[in-house]
Amino acid sequence: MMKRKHRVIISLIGFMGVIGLIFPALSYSGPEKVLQIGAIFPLSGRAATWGLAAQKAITIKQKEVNARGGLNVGGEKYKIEIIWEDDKYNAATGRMAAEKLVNRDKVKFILGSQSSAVLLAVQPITEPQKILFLLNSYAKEVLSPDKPYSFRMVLTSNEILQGMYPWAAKTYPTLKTVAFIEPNDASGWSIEKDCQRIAEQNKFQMVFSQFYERGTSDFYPLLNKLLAQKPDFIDFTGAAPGDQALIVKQVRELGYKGKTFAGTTIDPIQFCKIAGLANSEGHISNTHDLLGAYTTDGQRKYHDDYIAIYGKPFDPVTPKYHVYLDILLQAIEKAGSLDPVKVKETMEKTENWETIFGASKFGGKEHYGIKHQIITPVYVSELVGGKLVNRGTMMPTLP
Amino acid sequence: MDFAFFVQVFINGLMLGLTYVLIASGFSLIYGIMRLLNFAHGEFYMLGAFATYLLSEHLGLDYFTALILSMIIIAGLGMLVYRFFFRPFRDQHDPSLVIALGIAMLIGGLALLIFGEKDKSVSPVVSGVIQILGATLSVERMVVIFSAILLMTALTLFIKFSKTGQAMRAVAQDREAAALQGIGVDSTFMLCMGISSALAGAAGALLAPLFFVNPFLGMHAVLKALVVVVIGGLGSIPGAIAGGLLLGFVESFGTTFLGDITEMMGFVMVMLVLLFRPQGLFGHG
Amino acid sequence: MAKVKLGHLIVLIVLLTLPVATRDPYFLNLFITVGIWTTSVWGVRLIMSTGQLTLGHAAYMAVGAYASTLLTMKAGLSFWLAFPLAGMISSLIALLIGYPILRIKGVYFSIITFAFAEIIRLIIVHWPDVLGGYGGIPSIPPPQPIFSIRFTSRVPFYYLILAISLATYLFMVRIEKSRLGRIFSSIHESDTLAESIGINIMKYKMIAFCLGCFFAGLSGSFYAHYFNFTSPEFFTIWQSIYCLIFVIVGGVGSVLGPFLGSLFMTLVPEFLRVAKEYEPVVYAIILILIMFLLPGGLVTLPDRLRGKEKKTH
Repeated sequence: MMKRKHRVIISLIGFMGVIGLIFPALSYSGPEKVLQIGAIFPLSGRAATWGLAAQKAITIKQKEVNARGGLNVGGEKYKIEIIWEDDKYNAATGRMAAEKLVNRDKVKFILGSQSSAVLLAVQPITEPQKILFLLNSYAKEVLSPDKPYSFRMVLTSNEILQGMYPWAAKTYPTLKTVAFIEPNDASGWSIEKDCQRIAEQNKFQMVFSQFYERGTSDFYPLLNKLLAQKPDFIDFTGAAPGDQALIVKQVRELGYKGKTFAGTTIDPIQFCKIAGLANSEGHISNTHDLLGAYTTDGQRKYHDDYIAIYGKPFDPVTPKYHVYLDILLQAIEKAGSLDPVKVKETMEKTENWETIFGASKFGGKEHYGIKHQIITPVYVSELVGGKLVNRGTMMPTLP
Repeated sequence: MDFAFFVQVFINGLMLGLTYVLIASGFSLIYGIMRLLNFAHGEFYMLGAFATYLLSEHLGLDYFTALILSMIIIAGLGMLVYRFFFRPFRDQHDPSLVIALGIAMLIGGLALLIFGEKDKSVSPVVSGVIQILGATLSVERMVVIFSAILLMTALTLFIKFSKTGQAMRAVAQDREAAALQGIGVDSTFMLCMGISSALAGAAGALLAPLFFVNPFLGMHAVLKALVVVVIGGLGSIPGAIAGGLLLGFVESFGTTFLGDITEMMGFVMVMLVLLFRPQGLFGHG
Repeated sequence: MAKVKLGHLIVLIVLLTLPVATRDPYFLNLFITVGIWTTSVWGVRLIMSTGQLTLGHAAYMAVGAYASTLLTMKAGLSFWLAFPLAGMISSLIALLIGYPILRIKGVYFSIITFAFAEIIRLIIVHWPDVLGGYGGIPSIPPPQPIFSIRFTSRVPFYYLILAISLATYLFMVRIEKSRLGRIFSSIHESDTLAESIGINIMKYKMIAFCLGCFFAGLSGSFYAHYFNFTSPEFFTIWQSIYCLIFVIVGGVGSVLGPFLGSLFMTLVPEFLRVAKEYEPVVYAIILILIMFLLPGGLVTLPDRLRGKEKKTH
């Protein structure tokens, strides 16, 4: 005689087993041809700013392609469908998401993510199965010769600073010493190494480098020590946007008169609100004001598409994520096939891509061991009166 | 390193310490009187900041009105949470811990859904910096320091001298004896939650213009509060004050002189205190 | 001599044949994850059986994960040796730490386990040359082939964690029924009373703690070799809190509690994948509902349905 308790447990397990088997059968799409592409990004939690920005940019491209009938693959039209997964900036969650996308949804192409931990946990799934993985993150190890199906679609601090530091050396010849502040996490560590190396290459002297505990809002103790070294400028490329604004605010309160500098994209409105308008004056960042000068037609169109879909205000953090879907779809169209192996070969063979940033290409054979790092322009801007002013546009040289 | 440098380090420590005191005092009060580690405390701090943000930025109220209103709103919220979620588990140790964690997760998750993950800011009311003995302090921070001292003084006086405060202390010491004496344990708990949440809300409101506001503030705050009250003594207000200041100074000096190993400092101190004087600096064992 | 109930046998058969019923790797991955947590959470329950609430269990999983990783990658040991060693190293750390802290009672003990867990995580982070720092350690090799079974697909991993979980389950049942288990529960009931009849509570609390952390270490080791990657971000305070939540939701009163809790809390968010942004809220609501409606945990559900009133502890 089986106990009631055990019957319940067995029915529970059986029930879940049944659900697991019929779930795949439940996904049914219409008669038109659909290309499903997976996307793993932080859509909630601390890093959601970037994940949601990526989602916006990718959606803009998706809508654009679907509006003109879909993607042309060897004569057939495919509607683009993106399956969004939230990795919560957590490796285990990201891995589960990849499991689902690869094993359940059977996608062949995945866009994602920000966190190097997520990517390093996901690559053991995507690489052996030859899933084309277009990714981000600052960690160097994410690209390597033994990961032939991973391509990085956004500039890392390595490339950005290779553009910005020479510019700084040329524009401000009196600046000699630099101080670094980075958060105590994976990207902070990785960025700090790049900062040190590139600063040195450009003949700057590092006089201070320290990491701060994530969650810190009061930087006075750290800045106190930093200011005692009298740096000519401060670089906090790895800090979160809110933290950057706070650092700028507090360092100005403490009387600092040098330059503040970060190789990341900022939202000028938010930044000035938190830091204070006067304090933000002169801050250098890698942000492109799409309404300013040096704008391409592609960028203007992107800006208009953005406003049409999402309304004002425009989010300047989003444009760099546009290349994810843009280049992938161009590669598929060029290859004339949905086979990731062929698409990968096309991506490697093509020397020039036309993106909203103008001509872009892949590089990095020497630095990463494999030529899979995108190279797009770096836009150096300065905050003047709360507005972004472009001070220079350059293509990083990445051997 | 000159004298001004050290004064700066000291003032930084004072500022940091007082923010910790503000956040931790309510946490300590709840533990002392209700024997509950209220993990949701940090979320009240976060909500206080958001309330101030909404009232001042969206409704256009002036900052000080927003501050007072925020305290009242959060106090009310705290009492509601007690009434419906904490009271049923009042006498059960493990379940009340789990419920507090659950509420913390719930509030944090809801805040993220409602407010979004972007950092928001509250416009500063005062501006400018002053110099003290060669060290710099922004006027904003001065306001926070004075407000913190004011609140702590009010709290201490209340606990020590008012009838309600004495009732609270009686309940903290011996719940059953207090009940026998006719003190309403339940209403005391309710009031305690109200005051404690108001303090957390005040902390959030006071610090909002200085830093920024987002739904993730809660977790970080409650962890600091835990460290502070363990060092100072669970359930003791003087302990929370001493513990908060101590942690503030240790972190300020540590960050300035030792570097990022300071992150561990708080927890090492917790371990040392628990090993050698578990009741904390001011606790009663 | 354990009496094998028909009910247990049927559950066992279902679990054994699961990979045959569904070769879907995604589904198997879910169950493997459940297996990992269940093994670890059984350790939590064991520690709780002496009345100690541990808030730092994930740290011991971390010790197991990193120990196993280093033993296989740097010392060249086989996984099959590193695996039990990882458990033992976790136990050893538990022993060293346990000695001073186990005399601390109640909530202070919980706080100190929590503080220590953070310290362990920070040590891992601040020793990047050996332990990989925040970036973690990638490319961890899977277990070496055994009995000519190669670990290239999900299925062998599933059976391995199933075997580990079953062994752990039998172990826990054995302990509960043994003299050791009775001593544990008497300590839980009343420290002073147990002491007065001559039981050395320190010694037994220590045994429970070390055994509990042993299983944490085992599950951590499996975790590392299954994910091929380990990072300090896997073993945060939240993971420790989840361990606690799993055992309480499942029900502390029964050995099946950790299994039910891990199963439920892992599968429910998966099936609610519809609204991703709502997940933390849903998780919290489920937890709170369980606390109110089923205070004894999920194990009490059948009895509750039958209308019996379970005494809340």
